[in-house]
Amino acid sequence: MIPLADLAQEAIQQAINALALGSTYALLALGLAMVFSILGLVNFAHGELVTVAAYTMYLLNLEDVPFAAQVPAAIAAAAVAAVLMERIAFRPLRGASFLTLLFASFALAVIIQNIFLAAISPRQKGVRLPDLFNEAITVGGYTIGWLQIITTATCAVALLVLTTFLRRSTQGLGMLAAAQDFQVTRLMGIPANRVIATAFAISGVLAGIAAIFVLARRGTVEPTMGFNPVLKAFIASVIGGLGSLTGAVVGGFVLAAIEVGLDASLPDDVLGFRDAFALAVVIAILYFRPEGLLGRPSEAR
Amino acid sequence: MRAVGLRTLRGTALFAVPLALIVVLGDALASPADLRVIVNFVIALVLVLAIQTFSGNSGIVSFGHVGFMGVGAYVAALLTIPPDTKSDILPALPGFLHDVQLELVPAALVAGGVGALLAAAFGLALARMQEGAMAMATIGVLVIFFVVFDNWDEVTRGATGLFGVPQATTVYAAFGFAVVTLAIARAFRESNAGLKLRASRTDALAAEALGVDVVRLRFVAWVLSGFLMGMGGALWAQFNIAFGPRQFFFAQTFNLLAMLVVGGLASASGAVIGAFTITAVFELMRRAEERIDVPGITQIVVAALILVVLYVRRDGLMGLSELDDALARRLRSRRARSPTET
Repeated sequence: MIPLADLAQEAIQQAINALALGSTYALLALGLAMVFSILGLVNFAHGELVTVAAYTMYLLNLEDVPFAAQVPAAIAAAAVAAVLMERIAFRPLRGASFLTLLFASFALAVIIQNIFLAAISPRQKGVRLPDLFNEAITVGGYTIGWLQIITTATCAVALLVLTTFLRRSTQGLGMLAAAQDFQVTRLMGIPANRVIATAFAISGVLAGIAAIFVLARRGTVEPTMGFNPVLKAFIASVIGGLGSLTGAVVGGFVLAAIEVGLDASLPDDVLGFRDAFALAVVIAILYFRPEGLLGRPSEAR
Repeated sequence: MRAVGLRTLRGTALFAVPLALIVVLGDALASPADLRVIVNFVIALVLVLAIQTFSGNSGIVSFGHVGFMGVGAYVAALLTIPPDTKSDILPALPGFLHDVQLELVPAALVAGGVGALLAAAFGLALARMQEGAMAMATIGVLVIFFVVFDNWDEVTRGATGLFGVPQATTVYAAFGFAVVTLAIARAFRESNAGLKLRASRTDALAAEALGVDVVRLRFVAWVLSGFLMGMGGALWAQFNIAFGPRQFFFAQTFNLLAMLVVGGLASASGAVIGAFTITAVFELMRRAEERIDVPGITQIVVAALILVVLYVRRDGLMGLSELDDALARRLRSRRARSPTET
């Protein structure tokens, strides 16, 4: 009986880990899905929003700005970067094919990475973060890091605020409608540019929030640091169903569950292959559900 | 069928002749450093055409192909590194892999075969997905291969990488492979399967309604291009002789896709012209960078160039048709206009 209880305890502990990791993935995937559902653009440069926010914190850190002021500045920087991205790089391409848009964002990501590389440094730079992020509390036999608690709570609040905005405000309803059918929404008198700019701003805010937790996990900034987050966001939104907002959030948690599950169950000598196993599981899921867990069947498009 | 053969021949010859000129002149006149640039350009042609075979006809961008290139490179390395060297660097290799030592062409063909096999394994799941989701899932393919190359110490030596591959890819060998790849890419494009797949690129639903089995054709093109990519990787490995997993990741993907997108994804001509343009820009920038001394400036310029091309010509420099088709059309319309002809 005791091993079973141990097993249950282990499972709960891992579930807590997955919840925190999944929160970050969900925020990233949701921002990506927000833009995709309206513009049909898979924004490769979404990861660079994380980079922008993280470097903002790094630079403010150098100036000894308190952490409480760094956070809003980082989020604002990511939001502004997202809106600028749309205005400068994507607006001239509006209506272009999926491929053209995807590749344009790919090129944009490379440009932004190299700007950080040229302007600051190609090397990793450490960022001092509040000590609280490294501390943990023990509740009823479970060890929970403060970072995990803060991540999960922040994500829950962000999702709640976003849902309220989307469901209760005119602008939000316009966005939801645009996610369903952008053409018809425009015909209903919702201004296209405002919807698109808002979508990018939201995706920037979400990426900025996620960036804090990404940075807290790794402790350093680096020009290519956006790659891993955007990759997770891609995978999460494909699992959930590309273009589905709820799907992106669900996909984020599913991906985190797969990763944490593999971390816990894989023997040490193959742990290096974890990401390969995780992606193999994802591809297996997609074999059975090519549209993703909550995706719309292709005929609906 | 005759038209397929004619257009394949015409399209291949149109590029093979100037390419032959570059190769012969380069071999006779160029410095060793410049010759390296030429050989790498010709190998890049094979790789870009391999991606074009899938992406150009299906309209689905693949970020995963560099993974197959890596597979080809590692397979070729295992098949060509002399057994003595293998005893030193890969002591844990199974016996038959330790003893084997192949020449350039058989090694490239085996590498292509392994590439095709692995492509088929992934293709079973990928080909069923919608285009957007499939494009993103191919990033998963790239990462899976990278993680395996980076961690499978017994076979790939992990992050350290392999060395001691005999430099068997001469400029003429690379030329031969490039012409054959161009012919294959073009023949597939003009074939019945290629035509149907291109129809699905324009409108997948309409193509399906006309009885085109889009999933099956995507799978076929994916496996064929996996073969070509593995072969290209083998060629690459046998020219660059030492490499590690980092060479088969995002930077490489970006370079090859840049060539494809700038030239125009839709045609084999676009792949060739894109490879030429990007190589030229890279070389110019590399020389300029020595003086400007801003790290990363080459990448910024190439990426900006891509954006400009996309703004001005959304379908790349070549647009949607093959160069020889476009020339033939122009010739016909001029003839039709000239009074002596009628």
